[in-house]
This record gives sequence, structure tokens and C-alpha cells, in this order.
Amino acid sequence: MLNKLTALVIALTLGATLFVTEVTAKTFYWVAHGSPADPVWTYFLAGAQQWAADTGNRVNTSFHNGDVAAQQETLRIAIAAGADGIVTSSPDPGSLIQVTEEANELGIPIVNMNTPDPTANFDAYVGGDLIDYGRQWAQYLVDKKLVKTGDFVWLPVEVIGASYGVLEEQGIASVFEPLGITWEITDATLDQGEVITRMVDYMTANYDKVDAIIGLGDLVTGSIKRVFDQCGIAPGEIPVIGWGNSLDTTQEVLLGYVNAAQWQDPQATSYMALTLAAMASSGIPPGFDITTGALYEADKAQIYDDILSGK
Amino acid sequence: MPAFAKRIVSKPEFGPFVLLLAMVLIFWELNPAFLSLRNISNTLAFTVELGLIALAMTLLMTSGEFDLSVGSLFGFSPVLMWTLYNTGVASIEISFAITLATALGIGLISGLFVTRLKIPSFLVTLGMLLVVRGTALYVTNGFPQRTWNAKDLHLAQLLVGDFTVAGLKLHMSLLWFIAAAVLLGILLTRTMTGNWIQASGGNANAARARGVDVNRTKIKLFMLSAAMAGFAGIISSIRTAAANPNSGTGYELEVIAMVVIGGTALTGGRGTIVGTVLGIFILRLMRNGIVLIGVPGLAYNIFIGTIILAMMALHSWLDRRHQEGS
Amino acid sequence: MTALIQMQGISKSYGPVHALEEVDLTVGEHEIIGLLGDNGAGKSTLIKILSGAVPASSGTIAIRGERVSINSTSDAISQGIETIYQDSALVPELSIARNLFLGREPLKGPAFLGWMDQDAMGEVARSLLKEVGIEKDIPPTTPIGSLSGGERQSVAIARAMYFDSELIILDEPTNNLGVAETQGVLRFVRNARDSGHSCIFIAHNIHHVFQVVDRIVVLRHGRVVADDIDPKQTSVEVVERIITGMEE
Repeated sequence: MLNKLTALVIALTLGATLFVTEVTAKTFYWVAHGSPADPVWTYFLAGAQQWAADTGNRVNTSFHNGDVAAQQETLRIAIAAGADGIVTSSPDPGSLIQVTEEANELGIPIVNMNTPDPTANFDAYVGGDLIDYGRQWAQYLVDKKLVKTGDFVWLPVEVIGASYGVLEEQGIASVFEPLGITWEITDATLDQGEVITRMVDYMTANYDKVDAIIGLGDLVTGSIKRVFDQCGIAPGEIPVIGWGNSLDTTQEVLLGYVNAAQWQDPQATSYMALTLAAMASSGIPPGFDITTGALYEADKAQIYDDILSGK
Repeated sequence: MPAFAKRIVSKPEFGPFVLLLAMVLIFWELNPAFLSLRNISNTLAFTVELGLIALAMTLLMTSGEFDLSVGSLFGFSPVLMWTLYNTGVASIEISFAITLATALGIGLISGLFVTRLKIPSFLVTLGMLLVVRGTALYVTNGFPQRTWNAKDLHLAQLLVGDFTVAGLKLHMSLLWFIAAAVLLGILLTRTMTGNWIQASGGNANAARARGVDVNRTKIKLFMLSAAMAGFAGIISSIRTAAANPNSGTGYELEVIAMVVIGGTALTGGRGTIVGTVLGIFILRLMRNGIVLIGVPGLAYNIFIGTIILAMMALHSWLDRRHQEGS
Repeated sequence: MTALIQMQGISKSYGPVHALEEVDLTVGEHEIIGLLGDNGAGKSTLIKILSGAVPASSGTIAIRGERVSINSTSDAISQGIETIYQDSALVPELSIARNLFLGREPLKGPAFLGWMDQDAMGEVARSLLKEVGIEKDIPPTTPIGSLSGGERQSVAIARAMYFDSELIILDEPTNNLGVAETQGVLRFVRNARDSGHSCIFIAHNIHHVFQVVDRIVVLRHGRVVADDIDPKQTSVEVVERIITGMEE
């Protein structure tokens, strides 16, 4: 009889736990403007998945390859589904003003991650300050005497016109313009193979012109070694700085192809953004943003290499 | 089975209709929010933009041709219009007119290449896709055009202004879509031109032998396709407050899939607007439903591909049964 | 008999190749002409010129004494010359009614709308089907591809007759048909002549030609070598020899 009683108690407890979990498990939507083929987004996604595992909440994820209309549609679907919270990056400055208003009206917390858009009424922003990153990168090159007045800097980017490139360029311009340093942005697409092809073509044609390179995205910066090798450029011959959220780039920094790279802490960004969203959905409004990011050189590169390899 | 039921079942639109019904029921079961007013109005908003392109594509494919440049035109047209307006070159109405005229011109060029130079439309419009997209990127340096101040303009209201009906928020673009669907459906099934379109796709030589100007018919359809893509792009840019030169990438294949799923023959000669409308909703609702029930977005293509294959198999099976029956 | 069609001095060259040289051909009213010749004799070319598919390099065409110029298939059709091809110039997916009226759809309401009078089309289709001898009750909305080859050919000929064509050109119409269907088509050609249409009949099978035509014209190497042969007064073997030139 004791056995039966124990069994009953266990069953009831399990049942209660299940019931409790059902009741407290919330659904969050994690909406990214990027492409699943872009290595950095893999880590952002990993952060989101880790958070889901740790908290027991449900996180629905989606990618949009830069298609603004499709991303807006997905966000509206999340709102219609009565999401407990939404975390989204911004594909285009100003493109999410309407959508955030709709979320605000229904009291659904909506947190901005990765690419900021201050014109939209988000509950909070988690990520780096892209304009500031651009400024830092440009300043790094100037301070280390890697560029001087009259020099030309190449700025490869994956998708022209997307928020991140636009803002980074603003920061870069604020440093280079007064110094009379010129630059050019070219696009490389989101396809790895195509990226290498285009960058090789550009370097082959403009080798004599380029004095330094700033990689405005992870995919392009992560391709530098392959591009340099194919063009016969030695590591360190042309100074490179830029995004560094991938194993490709940490390796490049360790091997000397890239002077310094920006760690955005993609997993932490996702994780913290979701945390803020969950906090807001429980009635605690986040009255602050979270800034992430660190510029690393060869001495610190191994740390990030380990993090990235660990996953 | 009674005769009229047999007729309905053998119609190419029957399969898609059943699929659509099944999808709606399944998604609703999995998440009741699927049929919430908000979700319906959200779906209708984006669906009609692609839908407009699909309607024109139906006619073009019935005549035996493809237009792969529609996605590029979708992105390029609003960029052109908003550049003209934002730089003060022309009023919004004139910019709109110039943009549509440009789209018509591009369609004309595609049509001439296909009919006069006898290059397959697949190749011509592929080239056009690149030219138009490249132009959009080059001219804008990749930067999107601002359209936020659009809401106050009369034209914006006319094209995409929203209004509420019984709690459902709808956009004017829905009305445009319905009008286009009805007009083009009637054109295809009841008019002389529709007869010529089907004949051009079914047996162009026979049509020519009977005195039908096949080339002229096709050129007009290329122009329609281009103009519709431009029109849809403009509507989208106003509604989403974004005129991004990259937008529309990949839309051509999605639109062709919608048309084919609906029952229009890939090889031409047989087209159905009703079927296309079903196809439009099938594809868009699939996306909508997937997000709603939390399937990882990366798996979306698996579903779409499976549906396309299943529909092709179904159409082929129905065709064969129909042949055997007669 | 007054000449319905008079082709004079028709020549056609494709570069150095002379497909036709100074061909004269006359077709009278209510007459069925059989046009025979070996492969490459120029039969198809002559027909293409008459039907507007190809322009002549030189020569004239007159209809009932009046010079005409035929520069396109629609020209030929508007002059009353209809051509029945091997594949009948039919669109398999289109219905019988739509095929019949392809290019000449009867309209109702304001012309610019192009609204087809499908009721009228259906009625005419039904009666033509009966004329052509198709007993089964096939709705005119049936795709024409579901009719047999012979039935399709007959419908094509009925179409030519319905539109009051003066001259019906039949280019190898019995090529892919079975025995019974061939007889059906030949019968129909005779009917056409009896109802006031003239015909030019081209076939590889001389026996078919013999069964139907009033007069035989033979081409060889782009020239007319005989144009007055009465099938009732000669034999297949004789004509064969003329075609191959063994008579010389």
C-alpha cells in the first residue's frame, strides 16, 4: 500500500510539475534579418537556443535574408499570435517603426538586438553601437599609424544599404573625412563562394590603390585570409580591421592577416535580449540598454577562438 | 460519382483547393490565432503584393513564356519613384507615371528580344533580372530611399491606404488585387485576347497559321508582367515604409511556384487565374502558418518544395485520369 | 471554267538553290487539283507561297483575274485561301469551339472588349461536328486534342468550309491516318468541292489522290512537267513514271 501511495504521490507531483511548467512556459519570437548561411548568425541563434534550454521557455526563430517586407510580416504574425515577447534585429533604419507601435499597443515587449534603430520605439536595445564601432576601427588605423592623409581604404560589405554597413560607415567617415582619407564600399553578397570571388577580383584590380581594409561584416572579414592567399598578398602586408565574430577571423588575427577584430558577443546578445524581453513580460520594464563588444588583437584572440570552437 | 462531381474533381483547380482547405484547418487546429482577425489582415496585406505579380505571370506562362525579372522590377521601381520624388524632380503622381512607363518599357524590351531575336524568355529575362537589379544598386549606392512621409500623400492612400471592415484591417491594395484578378480572369477565359494567349502557348504555329499575331500578344504580356511587378513593388514600398534596392530578391521563383501549384501548365497552353489565386494563398499561408506554429524558419523551403512536388504529381495524375476517361 | 486562281511565272530561290522555276498553275472553280511530285520537287514551297507563309522571289498571283499580293498568312486567309496542315493547325488544349474560331472569334458587345460570343461558337461547333460525321455527342468545350487524328482533320476542313474559303489547300492531310479515317477525309474533300470550294490536294499516296481529284499537276525539280492529267484516263503507274522522269 505504501508503494501504491508513493506511486500516486509521485504521479501527482509530476502531473503538477507538468501543469506548472505548461502554465509558466512562455513563447518568445526571435526574428533575425540576416541569412542562416552567415556564420555570425549561427552564434546568435545558439545563444537563443541556450536561453530556451536554460529557462524552459519556447523560442521560435526565423531568418529573413534582408527581406524587409517578409520580416515585417513575421513580426506581425508574432504579434497576432500573442507572443509573450519579441526580440528582433533591424533590417533597415526606420523599417520597424510601425511594427513596434503595434507591439506597444498590445503591450507585447519588443527588444532590439544586434542592429540598432533608435527611431523605433523598442523596449530596450542589446548590442554594440555600430557608429561607435566604425569610429573605433577607423581611429585604430589612424592611431597605429597604419593610414595617413591621402590614403585609400577599402570597405567590403555583404549587403549594401543594410543598417550595419550604413552606421559603421558613418562612424568611419567621422574619422577619415577630416583627415582627407578616402574610401570605397563594395558589396560581396551573402554567399561565401561569391564573397571570395568578388573580393579577389577587387584586390586583383586595386592592389596598388588599397592602403588598408575595414571589413564591415563578419563574412567579408572572415574571408580575408583566403582572398589574400589567392592574390598572393602576405599576412600583414595590408592592415585589416573589422568584424570578428567567427572562427575564420580569430584564426586570421592569430596568424597575422587581420590586425584587430570586433567581438560582438553574439550568444550573449541573444541571451540578454531574450532575458530583457522575459523580464518585461513579467512586468519589470527594462529602463536601460545593454552594450556589448570588445576589440581584440592577437594576444586576446585565443579566448574568442576557444569560445567559438567550444560550441 | 455523379457527372458534375466528376467534372469538378478533374478540374486542375480542385487539387489546390483541397490543399488550401486542409492547410487552413490544420494550422487553425495547431494555433487558433491563425484565423484571428489580426492574422488574417496581416496575411492579406503581403499576399496581395506577390499576388498581383502572380496574376500577370499566369497569363504570360499560359502564352508559353517566363519572366524571371519580376523580382528585380519589384525592387527597382519604388527606388526609381522615390528617388524622383525625394530629390524634387517630380511630383509623386508624375514619378509614379514615369516609373510605370519605365517598367512597361523594360517589358517591351524583353518582349522584343524574345519574339524578334528568338531567344528563350528564360534567358532574356534572366539577363534583364541582372541588369535591372544592378541598376537599382548602382544608382542608389545600395542605400534605401525614404518613404516614411508617404502616408499623407493622396496617391499612397489610393494605392495602399487602410480601412477597417468589421474589425478587419484591410488595405486598398486588396481591392486592386481583386480587381486585377477579376479582370484578368475574364480576359483569359471570355475574350478573344484570352483565346489568342492560350493558342500562342498551346501551338504557336497553329495560331500564326490562323492569322493570330503571336508576337504582339506575347510582347503585351511581357509589358503587363513588368508593369505589374513595378506596381506591386511601389505598393509594398509604401506599406512597409521601405524602398530597398535589394527587395524582391527571389520573388520570381516564388511567383512561378504559385502559378504552377494553381494548375497553370508550365509548358503553356492552359492557364487558370482561379488556380493562381489558390496557389498564392497556399504558399503565403504556408509561411504564415509555419511561423505561427514555431517551425524553424530554416525548414520553410523543405515545406514549399514538398508542396510543389506534391502538386505537380497530383496535377499529372489528374491529367492522366482525365485523358483515360475521355 | 473561269480560273479561280492563276499563278504565273512563280519562282523561288533560297540562295543558289532554285526551289521553283517559272511555275504556272491554274485552279478553276469547283475543281480539285492533285499536286504531285517527288521529295524536293517544290510542292511544299509552292503551297507555302500560296498560303502566305513564304514570299515568292518573282511571279504573280491573280484571283479571278485580279492581281493580289499575299505577304502573310492573314493576307491569304482574308483572300479566302485556307490551308490544312498535317497537324491541322489546331491547338490541342483548346476546345473544339475555340479552335474553330481561332483568329476570327465572333464577338458580342462593344468591339474593344473582345468579348467572345461563346454560345454562337458552341452552336456552330455542334453543327459542324455533325456535318463532319462525328456521331458521338461531344460538347464543343472539349479540348480538341481528345478527338482522333481523322476527326481533327475533318474538323479543320469543316472550318475551312465554314469560313467560305475559296480555295482549300490540303498538305498531306492523310499522312498519319488509318484507312477508315482516310476515307472520311477524302469524302469530306469531295463534299467541299461539291459545296463550291476548290481544293489543292497534296499527298504522297497517289492512290488517295486518284480517288478524289479532278486534275493532276506534276512538279519535278521545281518545274511543272505536266498539268493536265485526268485521273480517269490514266493509271497510277503512268503518273509515277512522270513524277520520277522515267518517261523521258
